[in-house]
Amino acid sequence: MIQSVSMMVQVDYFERLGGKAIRKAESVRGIAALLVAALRRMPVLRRASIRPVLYRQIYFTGIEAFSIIAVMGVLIGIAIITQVTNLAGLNPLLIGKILVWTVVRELGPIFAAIIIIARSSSAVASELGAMKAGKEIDRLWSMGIDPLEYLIVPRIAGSALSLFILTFYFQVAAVAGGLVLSSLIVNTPIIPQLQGIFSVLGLFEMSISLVKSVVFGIVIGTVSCYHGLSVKQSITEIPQVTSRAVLQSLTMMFVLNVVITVFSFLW
Amino acid sequence: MVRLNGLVTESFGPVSVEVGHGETFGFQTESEYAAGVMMETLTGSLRPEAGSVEVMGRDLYAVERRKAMEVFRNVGVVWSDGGLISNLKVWENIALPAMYHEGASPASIEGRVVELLGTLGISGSYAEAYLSRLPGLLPRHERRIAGLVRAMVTEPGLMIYEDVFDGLTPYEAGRLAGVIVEFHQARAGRASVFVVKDWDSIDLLGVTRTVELLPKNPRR
Repeated sequence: MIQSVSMMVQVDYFERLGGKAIRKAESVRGIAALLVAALRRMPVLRRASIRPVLYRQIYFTGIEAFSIIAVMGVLIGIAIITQVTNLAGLNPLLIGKILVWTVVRELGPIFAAIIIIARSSSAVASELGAMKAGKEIDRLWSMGIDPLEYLIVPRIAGSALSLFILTFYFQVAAVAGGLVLSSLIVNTPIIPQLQGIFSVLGLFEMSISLVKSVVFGIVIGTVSCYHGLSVKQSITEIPQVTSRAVLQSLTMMFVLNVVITVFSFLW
Repeated sequence: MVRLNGLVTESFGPVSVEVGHGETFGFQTESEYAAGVMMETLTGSLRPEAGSVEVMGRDLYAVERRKAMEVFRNVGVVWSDGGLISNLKVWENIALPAMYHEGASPASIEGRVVELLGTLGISGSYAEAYLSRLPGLLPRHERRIAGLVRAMVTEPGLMIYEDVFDGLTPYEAGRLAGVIVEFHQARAGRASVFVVKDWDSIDLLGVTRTVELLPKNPRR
């Protein structure tokens, strides 16, 4: 009796685990299908009726995040320079190189993506979820307007463009702000640090960083839209899809970061 | 323009009807819920349990939704609650189909919008304030007016209305009916389909043919 109950518990556990894995696989497949469909419709961004949606998305996702990105960038720059100085002594060339290796290669795209996930992923998912629950998606169809073209494509493109701009802005803030403030706080000379930076900062470094930012932006936008549209009928589903959008965006961002880093710098 | 062939939904059926060019046709239902089901079915949002729905010659449920809904560029749908997009201001809602399908500029439709709103009792400084509001701040009948103007601006060949007089005073209903009838007659061949709960609305609109949507499983 006890053995059969224990076996039942084990079977139930594996069923739930398997069910979770299947649901995860289905959501990844759904996200990929939405992304492919959206990429095919990117030319609709030329239409005058859709451009305001794109501009609005860039404004809310990108422009409104400028101040927080700048502050975070400067703080990260100061922290890195302080740590390097503490570990390796006053070595301006090394500080410059480490700033590039950490901020440009890794932290720039990642931190900008985290800011966008925190601010916009939940907003997009909840907005689309509310539209779905309120039947506004069906109302668009009844006007002969494809919601994929009017709602999804501008949000994905806006997310990618915003992250591209914010990544670059973060890197400039981290490097420039870090250099200036650390020269005041830690007394490190600026010119040798700049020499260190430019000795390792090349087109390849910048390109990989910006490719990461665009890829992250596309994925974050797609994941947020997918989960928002997965709401069936009830507004009580909205908080659930919002947290799923944030968590899945974070997970996919970190996975893609590793994939791009390994392919770019090791192969 | 509209052809229902053996249509059966969760609320009513079977229904077989054909609405031709220039006709005014009424579906009379027992409940607001059944009216909503009919509207969702006619606009491609709710697959019927049986039968087919053809709008402007296209079977809405036999092809991919994107292909099916292309015909709605020439169909104006007026929902009882307006059917507006909640994060767009009233003006943006009204201009959306015209700008999306025809590439119309705001200036080119502004005059027509102001004229239509004037006939519906919204004019002057109130119209300015009205157009700049979000739909959530408006009472139901004013959202319905925005939905009506949005549908009319594109001059479609087919109009579908849901319970347009719900909640209106007799005076407001009479004025609205006058605007709808005049709009119907303004273009030769334009068809108008009304989904309503009560027969009084049918009389006010001068509907020529009607069908009562009987419940699938009537109480005995």
